[in-house]
Amino acid sequence: MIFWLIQFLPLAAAAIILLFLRGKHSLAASVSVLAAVANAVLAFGALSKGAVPPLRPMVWMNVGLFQIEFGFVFDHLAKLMLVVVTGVGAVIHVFSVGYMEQDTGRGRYFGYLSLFMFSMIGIVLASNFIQMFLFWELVGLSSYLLIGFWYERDSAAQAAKKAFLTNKLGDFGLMLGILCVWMLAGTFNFLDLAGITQWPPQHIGTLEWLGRSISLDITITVTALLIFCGAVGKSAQFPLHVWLPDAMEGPTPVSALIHAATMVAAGVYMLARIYFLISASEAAMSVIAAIGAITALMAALIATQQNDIKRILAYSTLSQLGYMVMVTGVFDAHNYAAGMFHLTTHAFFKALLFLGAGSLIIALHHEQDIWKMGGLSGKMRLTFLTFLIGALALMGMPGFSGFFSKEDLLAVLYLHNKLLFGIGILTALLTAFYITRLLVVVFIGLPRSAAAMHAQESSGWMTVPLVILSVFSWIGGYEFMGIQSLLPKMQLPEHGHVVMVCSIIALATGSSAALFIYWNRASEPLTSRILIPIREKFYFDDIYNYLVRNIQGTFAMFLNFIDQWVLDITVFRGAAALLRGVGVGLRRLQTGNVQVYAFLFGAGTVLLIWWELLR
Amino acid sequence: MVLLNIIIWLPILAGIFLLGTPLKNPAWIRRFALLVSVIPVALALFLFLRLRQGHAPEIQNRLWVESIGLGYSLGVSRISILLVVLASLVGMCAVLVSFRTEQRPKEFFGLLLLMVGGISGAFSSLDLFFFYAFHEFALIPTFLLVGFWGGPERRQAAIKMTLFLGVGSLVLLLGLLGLYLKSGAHPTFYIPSLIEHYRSSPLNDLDQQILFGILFLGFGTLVAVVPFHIWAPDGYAEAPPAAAMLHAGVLKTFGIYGLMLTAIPMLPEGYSAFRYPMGCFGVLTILYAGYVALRQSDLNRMLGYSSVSHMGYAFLALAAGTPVAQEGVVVLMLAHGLSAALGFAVAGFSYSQAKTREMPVLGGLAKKMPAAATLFSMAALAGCGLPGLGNFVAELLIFIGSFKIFPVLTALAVWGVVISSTYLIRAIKAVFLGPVKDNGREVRDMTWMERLPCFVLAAVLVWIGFLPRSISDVHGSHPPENPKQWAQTRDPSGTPSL
Repeated sequence: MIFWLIQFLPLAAAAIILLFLRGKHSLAASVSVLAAVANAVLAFGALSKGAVPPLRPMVWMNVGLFQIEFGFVFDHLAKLMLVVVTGVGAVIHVFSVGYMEQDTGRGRYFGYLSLFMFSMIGIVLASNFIQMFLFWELVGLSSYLLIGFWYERDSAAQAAKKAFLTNKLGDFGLMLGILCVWMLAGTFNFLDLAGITQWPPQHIGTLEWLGRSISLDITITVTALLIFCGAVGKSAQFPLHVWLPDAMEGPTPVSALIHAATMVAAGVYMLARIYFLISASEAAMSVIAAIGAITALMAALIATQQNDIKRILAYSTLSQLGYMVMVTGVFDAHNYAAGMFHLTTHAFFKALLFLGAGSLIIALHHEQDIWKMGGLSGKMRLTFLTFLIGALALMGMPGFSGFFSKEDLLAVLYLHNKLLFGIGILTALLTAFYITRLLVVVFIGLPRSAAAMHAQESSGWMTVPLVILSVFSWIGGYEFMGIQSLLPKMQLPEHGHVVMVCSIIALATGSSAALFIYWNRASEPLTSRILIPIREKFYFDDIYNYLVRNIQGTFAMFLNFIDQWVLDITVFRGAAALLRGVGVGLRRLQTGNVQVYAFLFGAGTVLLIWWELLR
Repeated sequence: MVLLNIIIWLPILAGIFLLGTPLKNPAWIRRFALLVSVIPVALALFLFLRLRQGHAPEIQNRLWVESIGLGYSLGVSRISILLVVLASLVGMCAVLVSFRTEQRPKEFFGLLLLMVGGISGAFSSLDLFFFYAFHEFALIPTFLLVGFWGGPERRQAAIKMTLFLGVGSLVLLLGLLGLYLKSGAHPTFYIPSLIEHYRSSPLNDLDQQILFGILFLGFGTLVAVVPFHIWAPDGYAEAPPAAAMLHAGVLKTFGIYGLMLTAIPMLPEGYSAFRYPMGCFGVLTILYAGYVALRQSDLNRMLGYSSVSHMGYAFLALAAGTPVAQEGVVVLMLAHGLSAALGFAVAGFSYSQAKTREMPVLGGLAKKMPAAATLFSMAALAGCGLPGLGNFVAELLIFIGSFKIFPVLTALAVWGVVISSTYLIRAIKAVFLGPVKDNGREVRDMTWMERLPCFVLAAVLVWIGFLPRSISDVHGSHPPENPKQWAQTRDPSGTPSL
């Protein structure tokens, strides 16, 4: 019962708001916030429940014996993710009350936010692939709606479109992957699938290609990679990462909740959920690790040269997601536990950083350029202190939550693949660099604009959530917080102090370099031409625009030409000529002479009989 | 049985009455039309619910001309009653959408009602002759509605439509006559007897293949399968919204329904010879029409190509022929009918306000008409296969049901979803989002009366999307205790049932 409540309470809130309370802003906000808080309470209350809810799943759709179920799983993974989603979600709902105070579309905003909570919880609790896909698409919808929330702005509308379509591209793979799973196993159910590697071979189907059946290994590899495509889209991994930075057009609490803490982590969550499948294929695992590594390093590099505070954080999110994906692709008993642990701490500190950025943006009247800020540490003390905690957690300062999770993650990498470990350390160095740069440029030095000069601390609606999240970002990694107890026990083999030493060196180097370069600067000091590709985000957007416009556009234009000029003329004229011919013939027959009609009628009958008899 | 007759004949008789009456007052005429179009909805829903509770399907077979086996036979299965519900529902919404028609309302509503009655008749006929005749009876008002109440290019569009659908119907007639003439010593038009006959004494392979080919060509042209789709985008672009809703949404699916009702069960060998080509035609339709839709700047033409493209899934599923895929076709016919009708209704409204259908000059209309923007987005998102709306269920079932038979074709069809998302999301942005442009300054939002039909369509679409089981066949489904039992039982997604 409690699961149905957790699942559908946000939907009820969303429906009530969107149907009846669009214009009643305060009421809409209270309904949405109450639903989110109640859900968080329910989720914590449900932690004691067993892995599989006692209720039988409902049949959602059936065709004879074929059926698609709607049910819940509540294992360790789901418990952890549910707590993160509802907990962080509730805090961000509260923050939104303050952030959206002046907006005239508040009712709609809170309706969409509740819709998002509904969809996200659906992904977490889904007991089968179809159910997960359903909610997977629905989070895509709420993300689309919220990115395009200020739809009068062309950039927002453009970003929403881009996010939706890029995700759709990933979901193309995911859908095919799900179909392959159906081909393989004849079930969508995660619990039934879990033992697939032990199934007798006659219960497993395989793919066919050109009449020959493909070996089971290759089938599983193909399936795993296709499903991974979905994660690449949703978690914005290379090469589909381009939508996430643009998604920052949405309101900042949305960036915190959807595009940092929860939805973009859904890809990592799904990989953990179907770990039994991807781990059956070595090739698939290597691809996953490689994609994660590329994303982590590339995004961290780009983040060092961005000037928009939200975009820096967005690239940082990409990079951290790359970490999680990378570690999931390593063969180790602890890999996805390490990934999920980092996902949890990242949800805390990245949500905190985004909300802090939101607090700054509101105080500066929607100024997002870090070079127009400066000297804000004194004017917005609470925002500064909480932001500092978030930044320290992100760069992995010992004692903060990010340190523990990153340490586990790097240790797993170190034990299995030194190259990935090297990339991990390099990324850690860059992380320390860009976040220190951000801190120094925004908070230290002199105000560089009028808005920064007159900034004031935000209201309690915003600062209280900041404080709550900063507490979790600080202590969330310690044993007594119980996050690890929700994960499979991590007992890494002894690996000396190499990992810790390396990561602390990386942290120190990155931070001090940034301090040295950016202390008391009024504009970007690094203007070397070598950095242009980084500043231009490695030209991905330009390449994709070119491809879409020229390849797809030309193809469509070519088909349109055929349609307009070739088919229209040949088929249309052909049919017209045919009909005209028949018409002319018929007109000749239309003599008005009864005998001719009688003759034709008779001839027709004879013809029919003849055809009848002779065939 | 009386009910089914009322559903068909009430709109037809009322239509004839309207066309012939000297009544002049437009207010009375539209109220009358609305009343007449509401009654069939209620009756059809009632019949559906009764059928779903397990009442035996009712069949009426009244032999008229015994010597040639011609009779007036009606009867509905779960599938056809769903289509009748759809026809009457979209019919009602079409009346509501054009409620304020000022140009010759008497004739307009008269023809619209004739169309609705004809469609319901075609879907509930069990006699080959009436099955065909009702369809033709519904087509003629369509041509007239396009030709007289359409947009600026209506003449051209109506001629094109008449030509293609006329030729298609002729080809179809040839095929159906073949079915009739080949049905033994005492030929009959009664479809169940025909199926019985062809099952017990099938035709030789060549005859089956020829007949199936003819029928596929005929039915295919009516559904606008590529390359016989040229009429559809022009026709739907120029048609008045009500006619586009009824034809694109409902009447067009007659071709799919006809294949399921006649050609496939009667000509098993012809079907198996045509399965692969049919699947290819389906995928060609999906991708070709999808890519062409990408290039359209006229909103209605884009919706027209979108509608053409979405019918391709039905051909793929019919080609696969598994029970799951077939159920997908049923849901697709309903969901596509609702979403296409919704799309054309809102597009018609935005045209009436902004006075243009060219997407590049439109923009930012959401600011001035939020309700229209929301409703159009729902129709478009349904076309993108978004869960929560009926089309997702249809596409999902079709993919699952076809993948084991035609993996490559199905994969290409899944790509079709990406294409349709691209043009539909682009259209939402081009028309409704972004800054307001010149055309958007003088517009207003829908009134409650204008919203009502769109709300109804959208609500049913959401209903099917969330609770697809409420229209599925609940009888005879015993869930297997263990999913691995699929290995032993006949796999409904991998074995063609036809």
